[in-house]
Amino acid sequence: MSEEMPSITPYPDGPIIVRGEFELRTADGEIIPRKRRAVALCRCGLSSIKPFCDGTHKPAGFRTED
Amino acid sequence: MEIQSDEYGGGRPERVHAEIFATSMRGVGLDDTYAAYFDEVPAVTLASQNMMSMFGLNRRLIGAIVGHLAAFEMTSSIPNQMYGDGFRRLGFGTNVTDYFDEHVEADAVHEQIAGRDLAGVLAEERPELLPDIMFGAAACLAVDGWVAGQMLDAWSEGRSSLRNAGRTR
Repeated sequence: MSEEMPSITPYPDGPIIVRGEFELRTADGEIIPRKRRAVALCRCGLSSIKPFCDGTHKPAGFRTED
Repeated sequence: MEIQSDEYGGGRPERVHAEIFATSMRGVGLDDTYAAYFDEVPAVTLASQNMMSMFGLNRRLIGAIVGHLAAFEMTSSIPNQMYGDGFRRLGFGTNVTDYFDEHVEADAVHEQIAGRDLAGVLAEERPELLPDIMFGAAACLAVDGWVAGQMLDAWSEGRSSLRNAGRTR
């Protein structure tokens, strides 16, 4: 698993899910700790735990053009 | 598999969700022994658990358990945030809120996996299971709605939702 290629998947009407080996960093270059192998990144801009998704896209009615 | 990996802590025993929940229970002064409150909870609470187990233990109900999981994961991020915020408001620490905070982030991932990769793909590959998938999802929302309704009704009437409330343990 340690050399698993990263993959980035935009889910319709939802977040972007990133899997595999990767690092998340802030704009200042600091590593953002990751608690799980697959993470969901906010795409609607409304999450309270950015960069991660917190499910707020649903009540907000966020839609993507898929 | 991705969901199960998270539930079991991604290989870190201290992050197994059952363990984090046990920590939360102890943090609010509850007994974390297995089935400690079995006789206290009302029938609807047991019905919710029994239904999920019944779906999961019977191969012929595979569509129902997949629909149940999808509906559950798709509706849990936001309530978990509210649980976490509620415990914080009441002054509890991260030992209590950890379980709920973990599920805000985790279930935002699981929602997509369970809804699209699992239930969506199963419905496409085995369209004859679509009614079962929808049944499982609807049953999850209906029965868990009864559980929540029972608690909220009791609380709004100023009483405990538990059986034998008031009895000292």
